[in-house]
Amino acid sequence: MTDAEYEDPEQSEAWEVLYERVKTVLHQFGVEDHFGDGDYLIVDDNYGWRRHSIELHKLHMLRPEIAVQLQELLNDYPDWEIVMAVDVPGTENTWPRMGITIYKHEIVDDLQRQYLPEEYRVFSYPGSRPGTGHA
Amino acid sequence: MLGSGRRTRGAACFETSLTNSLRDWRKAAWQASQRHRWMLPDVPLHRRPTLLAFKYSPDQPRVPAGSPDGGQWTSEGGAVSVSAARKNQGHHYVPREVFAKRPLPAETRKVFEESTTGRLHDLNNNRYDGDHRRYNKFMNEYFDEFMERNNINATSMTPDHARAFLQEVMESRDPRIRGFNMRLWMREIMRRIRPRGQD
Repeated sequence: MTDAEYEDPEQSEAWEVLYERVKTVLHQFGVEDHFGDGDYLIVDDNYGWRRHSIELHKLHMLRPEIAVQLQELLNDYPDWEIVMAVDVPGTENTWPRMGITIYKHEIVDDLQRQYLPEEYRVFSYPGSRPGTGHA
Repeated sequence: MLGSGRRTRGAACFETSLTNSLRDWRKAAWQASQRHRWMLPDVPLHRRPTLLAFKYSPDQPRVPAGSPDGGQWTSEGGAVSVSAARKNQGHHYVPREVFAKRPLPAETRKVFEESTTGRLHDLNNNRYDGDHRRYNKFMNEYFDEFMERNNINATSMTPDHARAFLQEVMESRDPRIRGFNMRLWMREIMRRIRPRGQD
C-alpha cells in the first residue's frame, strides 16, 4: 500500500482548517516569513501528524497571550497539538532546541530560560508543566 | 490512538514509502558514481541528459491565451489543474515558498508539488527542530542559481527543467540540503528499528 492509498482525509481536512486558523491568530502578533526575515513561520508541509509546527524567529512570539489564543483553537481539535519551536537566527550553534507544546488541556514548557534574555525568562503559561527538555 | 488495523496499514505504508525513497536515493547515488563513464566532450549535456529531452511538437496542446499560463505547453485536455489541497504527503524537497511564489507554468509547479518524502511517521523526536528557514533560504538561492546557469526564467521553466533541478537537489552533497533531508530519513529509519513500545 502506498502513501497515496493511505490518505487520511480527516487529518488533511483538520490540518487545513487549523493551519488557516493558526495563521489568522499569528498575523495579529507578527510577520510571517519563510526565510527568517520576519517573526515566525508556520510549517506548511503536512507530514501526516496531528500537529502544527511554528518556528519562532523573534522571541516576543513566545508571549503567553499568543499561546493562550492558539490553545483555544484546539477546543475543536482536542487530539491535536501546536508546537512552537525557538529558532532565532544567529543562535543555531549556541542555543539548544527548545520551545513549548500546546495541547487542549495543558501547555508543556520546554523553554530553557538560562539561554533567554532577561525579559523573556519571566514568561509563564497558564496550566503549564515543565517538559523533559528533549521532547 | 491507533487501532491495530490502522497501525498495520501505517506500517505497510511506511515500509513501501521508505523502500521507494531509499531506492531513489540509491539510484541517484549510482548515477552520480557512473558519470565518469559517460564523460564526452559535451559534458554538461551528458551530466543532465534530461535537458536534451525538449522536443518541439506542433500537436502538443497549449494553455489557451488569456489565462496566466497562456501559451505554455500542457498535457492533453487543456490546462492542468493543480490541487491546492495539502494532503499528508510529507516534506517537499523544494519548499512551497520557493516554487509557489514564482510564475511557473502549471505543469512545472505540479512536478514540485508532487516531489515529497511521503507521509512521515516519526512524531516524537526533535519536535523543536527549527531548520526550515535555513533550508528555505538556501533552496531559494539555489533555485535562482539553477535558472541563471541554465539560462531559463520562471515562465519558461518546463517540467523537465524541474526534474533536472530536483535531481540536483537529491544528489547534492551540500550539508544545507543533504543534512536536512537525510535527518528526516534517518529519523524514519531509526523509528523503524526502534522496538515497538518506545514510540
